[in-house]
Amino acid sequence: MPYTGKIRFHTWRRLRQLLQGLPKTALIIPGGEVDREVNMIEAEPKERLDRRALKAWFFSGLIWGLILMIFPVLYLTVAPLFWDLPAVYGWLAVGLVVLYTLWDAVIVPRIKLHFWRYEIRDDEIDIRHGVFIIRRTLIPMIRVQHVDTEHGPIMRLFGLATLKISTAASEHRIPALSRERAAELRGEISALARVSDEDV
Amino acid sequence: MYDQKRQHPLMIPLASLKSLLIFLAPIVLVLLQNPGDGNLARNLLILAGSAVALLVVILPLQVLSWAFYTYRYEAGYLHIKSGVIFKKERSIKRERVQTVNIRRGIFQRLLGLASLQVETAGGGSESELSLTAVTLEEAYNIKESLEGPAVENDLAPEENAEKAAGEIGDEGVVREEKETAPRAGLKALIDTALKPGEQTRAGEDNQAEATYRITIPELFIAGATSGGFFVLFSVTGLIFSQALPFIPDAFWEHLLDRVTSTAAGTVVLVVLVLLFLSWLISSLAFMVQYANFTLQRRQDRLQVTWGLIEQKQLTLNLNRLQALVVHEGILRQPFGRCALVAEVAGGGSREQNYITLLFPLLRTDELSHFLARILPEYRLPDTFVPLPGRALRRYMFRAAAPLLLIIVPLQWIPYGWLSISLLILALFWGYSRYRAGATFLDDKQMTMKFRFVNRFRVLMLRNCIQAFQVSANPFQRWRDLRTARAWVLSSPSGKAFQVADIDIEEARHLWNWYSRQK
Repeated sequence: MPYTGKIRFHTWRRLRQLLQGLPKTALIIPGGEVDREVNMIEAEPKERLDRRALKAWFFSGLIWGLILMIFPVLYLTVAPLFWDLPAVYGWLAVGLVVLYTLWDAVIVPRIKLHFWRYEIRDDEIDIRHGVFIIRRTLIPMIRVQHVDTEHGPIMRLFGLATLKISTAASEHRIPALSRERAAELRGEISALARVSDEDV
Repeated sequence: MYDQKRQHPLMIPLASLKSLLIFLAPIVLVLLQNPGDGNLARNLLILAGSAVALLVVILPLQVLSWAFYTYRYEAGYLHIKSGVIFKKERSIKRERVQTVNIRRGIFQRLLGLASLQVETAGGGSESELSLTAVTLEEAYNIKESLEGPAVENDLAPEENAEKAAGEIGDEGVVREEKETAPRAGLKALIDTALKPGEQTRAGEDNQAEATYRITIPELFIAGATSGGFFVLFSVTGLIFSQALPFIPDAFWEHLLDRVTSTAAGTVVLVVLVLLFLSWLISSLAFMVQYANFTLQRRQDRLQVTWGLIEQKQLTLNLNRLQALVVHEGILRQPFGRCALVAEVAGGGSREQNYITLLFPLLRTDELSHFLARILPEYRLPDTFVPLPGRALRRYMFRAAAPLLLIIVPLQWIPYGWLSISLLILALFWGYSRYRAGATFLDDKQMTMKFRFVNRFRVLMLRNCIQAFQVSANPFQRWRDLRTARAWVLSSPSGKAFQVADIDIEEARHLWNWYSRQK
């Protein structure tokens, strides 16, 4: 819908639309069509990431949280042996870390998974992703230089892999695909990229 | 043509001298710090002794590396062998060659030599091949064998370089012109005798289709507005602080009595003088560096030549040109001038911050005419699609918000309210960034216009854009605004250009234009 300049009158409708856009799993908003929301540009890509991504991201978020927790725990247990420090700040920090971990391990993965879409077409790769800023990226097949799959220990644990697509100037990732899917896509893209190369 | 060649033997003394100077520098520094009661003879003796000792080591090494560095070029390939103990062989395929740079320092010009660097795609920051001293003729032969479309082409650049060099009026170069002129003439004669039809065609091809050369006044403006004095100011300031003890008190007293009446006035005066000095020096340095800047278009190549003391030449194949950037420096804008910069695949060098300058100064209003003659592949749009009005407040907010974090705490400080004036400046900045933001689509070309401090117009051909992205945060989604971003290949790695807060309709337009999906 083209912008008409009368944003004020649509404010409530837009607010509703915006809230509907958020994943139901992340915030409790009953009802609403989930897919109409972001509407970056038409013809949103169709395919989603593997749902196991939630587990993997939760796991890595948890690990980060535990690492961060070391600092307030040290503050609360070891530091009082040497200095006289108020314990309140320590507990405050524990609270913050817990909140952050909750955000990072539970909420963000859901939003991420909700917005993540990709589509491999014959002549281009279309990606949509983001948490706060939603990005739609278009990579023409002829510009693809190489495709890699990679996976760290956590990803491996859940049978996931990341697909890395490199052009001469940029690098794009599709994280948390099932390992078979990633390998399949890698083959598909490199075959398509090769065909496109011949056209140039 | 097929035998192994070495560089010119003069490379040995040249390279030895160079490394000698590098090693001698710390010794000189040490001597300056311990002058030994100012005994000049002793110091000179130490210096000479260490120079001889170093030469004994350096010279044989240089002879060896000269002797073991051989190259050979044959149809489409350049083979290099190097290494005294660890042998290294490398073949460079003609198609992979990205740039051949020819440079001539002052010594090399006196000796009729040139240095040559061959760079290939993805070769990293180091040149694939770097010859420090070959005759100018040989340099052009190599260049042509790697770059030129046909053999007979190697005549023109040579003549041209000779001409360009001759115009500078350097003695060494003029002499050399005389030496090579008969050869060139002879070659032309043979060429015409062998293939008369070809020669006229080649002659036409070799004609520069368009040539632009910077004039002295323009060069001066370019230097004066290059903004280099900001950097230089810190250097002059440092030198001044070191020289301070040597300035007699009488000078300061005189200054205070006659010229400025207050101490603050003196400080202001000194700063102004220093600023002026650094501005003058940087302008002159710029003028020397980019003197005789010439841009030529011939067929599918651009040739850039510049420099007074060190001459540099760069040939750019158009298929390496990834984007064209019109760079309007903040100091140049009031004069209606801009610089033209190219984003080049695998080009540029570290000394130049990987920037390939196509022309240092142009009148902005003559830009489209200039492009039509030199680079008709690119077109400078007359009109742009401006940012929608509702983007203004986002630009204002972005400019002012970080400042508010500073200004608000400052209110508790005496005279802190003065900082509010900064806010006005920031809002003005935000406004001018908003005004500068725009996009434009052509049949084959996307143009982005934006400002950070300097204003840029980036001209990108569709097939040079590596990837394209449209993004929006919730506030942008709320107001139907998008940020468009395009990646182009540029050394050392890719570059992304973006315009924030364009209308969603325009974003859609850009997206559909770039998408292969029809």
